Parts: sequence; structure tokens; C-alpha cells
Amino acid sequence: MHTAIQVENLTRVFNQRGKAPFHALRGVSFDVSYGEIFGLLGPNGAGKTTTIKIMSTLLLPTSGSVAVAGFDVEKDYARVRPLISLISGGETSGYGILTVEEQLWMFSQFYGMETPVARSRIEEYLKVVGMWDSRRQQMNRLSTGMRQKVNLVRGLVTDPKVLFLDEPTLGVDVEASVIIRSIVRDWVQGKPERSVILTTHYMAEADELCSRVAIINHGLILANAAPSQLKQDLDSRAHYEITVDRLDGEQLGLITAFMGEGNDLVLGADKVTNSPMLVAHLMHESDIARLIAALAGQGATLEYMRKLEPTLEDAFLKMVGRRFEDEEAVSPVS
Amino acid sequence: MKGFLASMYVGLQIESNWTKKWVWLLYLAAYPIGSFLAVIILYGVFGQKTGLLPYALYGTIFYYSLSMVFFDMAFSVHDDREHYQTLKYIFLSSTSYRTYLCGRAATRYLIALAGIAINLCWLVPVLHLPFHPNWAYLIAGAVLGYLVAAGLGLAMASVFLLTIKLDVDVVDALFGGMFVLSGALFPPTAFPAVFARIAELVPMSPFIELMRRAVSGQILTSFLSDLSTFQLLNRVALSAAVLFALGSVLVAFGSRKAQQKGYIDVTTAF
Repeated sequence: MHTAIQVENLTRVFNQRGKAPFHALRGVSFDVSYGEIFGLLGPNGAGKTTTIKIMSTLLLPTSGSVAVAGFDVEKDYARVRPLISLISGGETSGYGILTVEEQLWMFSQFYGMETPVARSRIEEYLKVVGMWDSRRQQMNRLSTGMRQKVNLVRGLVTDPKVLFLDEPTLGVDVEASVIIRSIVRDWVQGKPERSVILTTHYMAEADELCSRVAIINHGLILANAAPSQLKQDLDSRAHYEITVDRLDGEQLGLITAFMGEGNDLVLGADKVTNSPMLVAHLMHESDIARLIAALAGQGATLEYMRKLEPTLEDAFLKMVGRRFEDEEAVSPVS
Repeated sequence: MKGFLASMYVGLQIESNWTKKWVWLLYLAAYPIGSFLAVIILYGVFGQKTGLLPYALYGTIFYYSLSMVFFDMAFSVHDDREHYQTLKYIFLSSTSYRTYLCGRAATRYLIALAGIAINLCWLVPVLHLPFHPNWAYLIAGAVLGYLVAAGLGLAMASVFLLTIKLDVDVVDALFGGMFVLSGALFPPTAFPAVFARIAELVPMSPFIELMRRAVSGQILTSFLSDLSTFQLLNRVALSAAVLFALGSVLVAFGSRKAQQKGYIDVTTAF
């Protein structure tokens, strides 16, 4: 069994009093293999959290099916639950009156773990997240970032097969985010029968962590591929930004003619130095050598050059027609 | 079992971890006084001649113990969902939600019983209450009484699972009404026969009467006096079995419906 999760034609409709029903999911399908960190990427209200709630047995679907580790989440939820963990970001969950250690031990008991095993794992993971020294602190005295680290440890202590991370770095500082991402990456590599499903609206986070991402918007999956593939599909041309000491419009025309059809060159000015800056969209990566030679032929000296890599944000823009943050501003919150 | 014990532990920490140990012990002893002080004034001062003080006092304190279970179960849903935001994590664990609720409420019940025991130490000699405990009936009654209250509490929890806003008034009205009807405060036989018949049907009535007899060693009024103590115990056992089974079914139903509606992790910041 290589498939950790199989989602088929999933729909979810929320009936709202006095309003038209809200279709949070409109036929979502994908699967996740063991050993994979799979990202669900989309703005608020896109359907990410609804999908993760159904996969983790918190919510029932309107139609369609989800199997986790081969078990149907609707019918066999009691067999699914011991195999999964959910960690949500942007919340302050936990019994404030318990210490970090007590809180983690308590949840381990809810999973029927033997206390010595639980204690040893709690120690291991608290040390990994750098919170061993805070183990006797009450939960209500922790910062948001610290609470989120405890939340992460709670999810890992039970050694689940599938870890659901719903916006795990939401509202936490940069340092805590880096630690959380690093732990998740190491954790999934720790055993072959582990997988992670991550929802995030931080494109860079998905790009860094995920072996595959699905871009979801308005309850529909728009794309499902490796981040590198999504970016490659966006535009197969190579893009460069080149700053030179001098270049005018006439020279640019000559160089454009020399480079041939399909290679676009746009001349502007560097915002800092005000030197001429060329943005080149080249058919082949190897064309850069010809371009540099042409620039030299026109007497221009290279000051600075960098390759422009497309981002997942660009992929989202191409698929949705709007930038990510613009889409968030108009999306309903589910 | 681990889940049940862990839930008991959470219940204990929530109840006790807010202050120093000695302050909490003081609180433990003082808290039940509020439930029976009015009874002492009513029957010990103004209605001394009625001779109903032992009946009403024992009735009230044991009703109080049940109310702790009932209220704890009902309010845990909102507490965990809104305040601690842990309800979804408990739901997703291997421990059933019913087990969790029962564990938390068990602690509350034991705390209430401890408070009662502490207070009986001074109430019995000061108020000259009849006190000839039958420990077997007392322990069996306490266990069965917990199941009676847990059954009702689970039923109420199922309602709260499907309610986004916390409606304290409904719980208060329900339990207040049952307090009057169960004969905890006065013997229903003093009223028209129909009232006594209704009182006999209230699930708490046999438990309260059983506990009165188990503590005092006497039949204090004619209410349920046609039943022997053993018969009363059987009736409490039957109530416990029926109510606990019903509560279990309802909480399972409520959980499923809440899962359908998306209410398991809903927060309203009420």
C-alpha cells in the first residue's frame, strides 16, 4: 500500500440560514503517497481547511470519498483516528492550567500510549523544538510560537502515519517557522510510512517543503504537480535581469534583431544605480551566452546579472488570473 | 482506561490547579455549603417543628453531587470547544468522547462527595442528624448515582454539541425543575397524589432516597416507603442502566451530527 490518502470527487456544501448554500468543495480529487509532503495551496476560503477537516474525520463530506491508510474516513473513522494527527495554526489550544509536560502526557494517554514511551518521546521532541527547559511551564504562560511548538510535539508524540498540518506557521515568528518546517521535513524522512498534508497560504513554505502541491481555489483543484513542474509549466523560457554601464534604444534594436524571434528584451533602469537594465526572456538557457556576446559587441560592460526564477505565486497568478493576496480579499471565508 | 484516567486528571487540574493546595481544600469544604445553607435556615430555624431537616438536608446534598456531574458534562463541551480549543483534538484521539466526558465528570463527582463527607463531619453532631451508615448501600448508591447523572449529562452534552451558543438557562431550568420534582427538598407525599407520582418518575428520586436511607439508617418520610432499600437499589440500578445507555446513544448521535454540521471545532468567542 503506497497510497496514504485517496480523495475522490469530494464535495462539501454548507447550508446557511437565509443565504444561498456555500459550495466549499466542488469535486476535489487527489492522492498522497507515503513519504510525501503534499501541499494544498490556496487563499482563505479556497477549501483547504474544509478538505483537511474531512480527511482528518472532523467533518463529513456532502459527497465523494476519502480513504486514509486504506480506511474510509466516513465509515471507518475509528480506525483512521489512531493513525493520524492534526495540528492547526493560528489558535491558542491547550489547557492553560496544565504544564507543557502534563499537556503532552495527557494527549498521549488519549491515544493509549504507555507512559514510559510517551515520556521518552515527549523529552525527545521537546529537546528538538528547544523547549525542554520550559517543560514545567504552564501552557497559559507560553508565547504563540512556543504554544505552536507544543502543538507540533503533541501531534508527533503519538507517531502518526499521516500528519495534517493546517497553516502550521500562521502567526508565529520567523525563527519558530524555520524550526517547525525543519522538524516536519526531518520527521517525514524518519520513516518510509509517514506522510504530511500541509495547507498553507505561504507560497514559499509550500515551495520549500512540498514534493507536490495542489493549487485550490473556490473549491476546485486547478493544478496538482511538483512545485518545480508548476513553475516550469508556467513558462519554459529562461529569464534574466542584466545591468550594464550603457545601452540605448538603437543598440537594443540591433541586439534584439541579432537574438532572433522568440527572444524578448525589455530595457529599463536599475532602481538603485539608475544604470540601464535589460530584462531578457530567452527561448533557451544557452542563448544567454549569445546575448552577453552581443552586449559586449555593442560596447556595454556587464555590471550585474541574475537569473529570474518563476515562483509558485506566478503559477497561481497564471491559473487564477489574479495575485494571491487579491484573491484572498474577495474570497468568502468558509 | 488510560483515556478515562487522563480525563480525570484534566478534571482534577481544572478544578484544583488555580490556587494553592490549602486554599483549594478550604474551597472544597466550603463550596457545598451554598447548596444546603438555605435548607438549614428553612427547616432548622423556621420549620423546626416539621422534623424534615434530615430529609431535606440529605436530599439536597446528594442532589448537589449529581448536579456536579450533570453540569460538568454539559459545560465541558463548550469549555473544550471555545475556551481551551481542544475538543477537536480529543475527538480525533483514540479515546471516545463519551469516555472523556465521563472521566472529567467522575473527578467532579469525587470532589463533590469529598466536600459532602467533610461537611457531614460537622453537620451530623451540630444538627443532631441521624447517622447510621450502611456502607455497602452507600458505595453502591454512589456508583449508580454517578451513572444516572452521567446518563443525563451525556444527553445534555449531545444537545450542546449541536448548539453553537451556550445556553446556561436551559440547563439551570432543567436541573432546577428536577430538584423540585425529585423530592430532594420536601417530601412529595405532602402534596396531591399526582405530584408524588411525578416525583417517583424523576430519575434522581430513587437515588436520593437510597442515599438518605444509606446514610441515616432510617426511612425518613413516607415517600417511596413502600420500597425496601434493596428494591430502591434495584430501581436506581435500572435507572442507571437505561439513562447511561440512552446518554451514550445520544452523545454518539450528537457527535455524528456535529461532525456533519462542522460544529466540532467551531468557535464563536462567546
